[in-house]
Amino acid sequence: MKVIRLTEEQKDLLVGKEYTDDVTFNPILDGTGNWFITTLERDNLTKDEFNWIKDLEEIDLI
Amino acid sequence: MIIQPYSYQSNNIQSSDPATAFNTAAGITGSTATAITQLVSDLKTNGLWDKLIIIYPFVGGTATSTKFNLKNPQNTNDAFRLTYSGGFSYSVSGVTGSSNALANTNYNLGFQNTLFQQGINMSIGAYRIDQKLTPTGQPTNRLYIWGDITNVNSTSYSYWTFTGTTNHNFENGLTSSGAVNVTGQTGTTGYFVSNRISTTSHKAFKNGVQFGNTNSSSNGYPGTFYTWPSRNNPMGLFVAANDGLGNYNSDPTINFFHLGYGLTDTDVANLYTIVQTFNTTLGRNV
Repeated sequence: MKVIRLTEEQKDLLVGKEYTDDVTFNPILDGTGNWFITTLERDNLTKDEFNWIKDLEEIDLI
Repeated sequence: MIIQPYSYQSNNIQSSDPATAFNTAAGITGSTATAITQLVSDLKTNGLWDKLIIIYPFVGGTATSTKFNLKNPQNTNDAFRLTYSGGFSYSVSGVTGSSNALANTNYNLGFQNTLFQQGINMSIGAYRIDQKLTPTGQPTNRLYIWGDITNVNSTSYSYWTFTGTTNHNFENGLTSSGAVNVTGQTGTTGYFVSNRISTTSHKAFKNGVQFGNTNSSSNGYPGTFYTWPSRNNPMGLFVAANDGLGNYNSDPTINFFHLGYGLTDTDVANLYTIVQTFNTTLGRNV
């Protein structure tokens, strides 16, 4: 399954912030210590201030 | 002065009728609104309305429309609205979680020292529509419906797991010895209910019929384990614990959920009939 990889700094920018009405980002760590969000959070994004996540790398969830 | 039996205020709209209040708050109209009205009527007629604390009908197909508690459709955490975090898919058929999904009910099992909130006089039900024969990506290939989002591991005292199609596990405010473990099942869809009516009677039901054995083990109460503030345990859907690693988040599809007081076997059967009728009206029954 593909997920969106985040740096620590990017994770801090997203925690607890709404990506669409009534739903917040929920970055978590994968088995190798990478922060990630799901592609659902990117695909359902409606808040323009977070458009930069559309350019982030997809990785396989481990 | 006329005193109305129910009065809700949501988004500055007041209504004496809970169905109208819910439909207004959630933006529900047309045939779905009519189905909500019928659902409330059926629950009241069968003496179930007052036994339930939370009802999420998951209608409307958005995060906003599905977050409201039919029993108290105010846009506040105190009214037990759902707070979504992580990846979700929303449709008129229901809500689907993901590997980081967490829907906080804002209901706290440890908040008050009552039999209900100790999990001794409590029922929990979820109508699940996805058939996952071989779940992957979770510890020991489990799927989770409900659990304690403050716990960091699997020792949560109230959670459900579905391991493949055959093994269903229902914890309900208990130690593990009080769980109902059901084996030999053929699928993961249906209206599942976990119901405890005393310290020594815990039953599980599928589609209104008991399955598995009644667990008569004492749940270990009284003690400090369940008591506020030593236990601050908001309960979530699509999650069994919150270890920050996604190990206990999950992706079932649910389109009805209830939390309430302990029910009689007849109550559970009637509740299933009502929910099944509701979902059939909406074309999303299994």
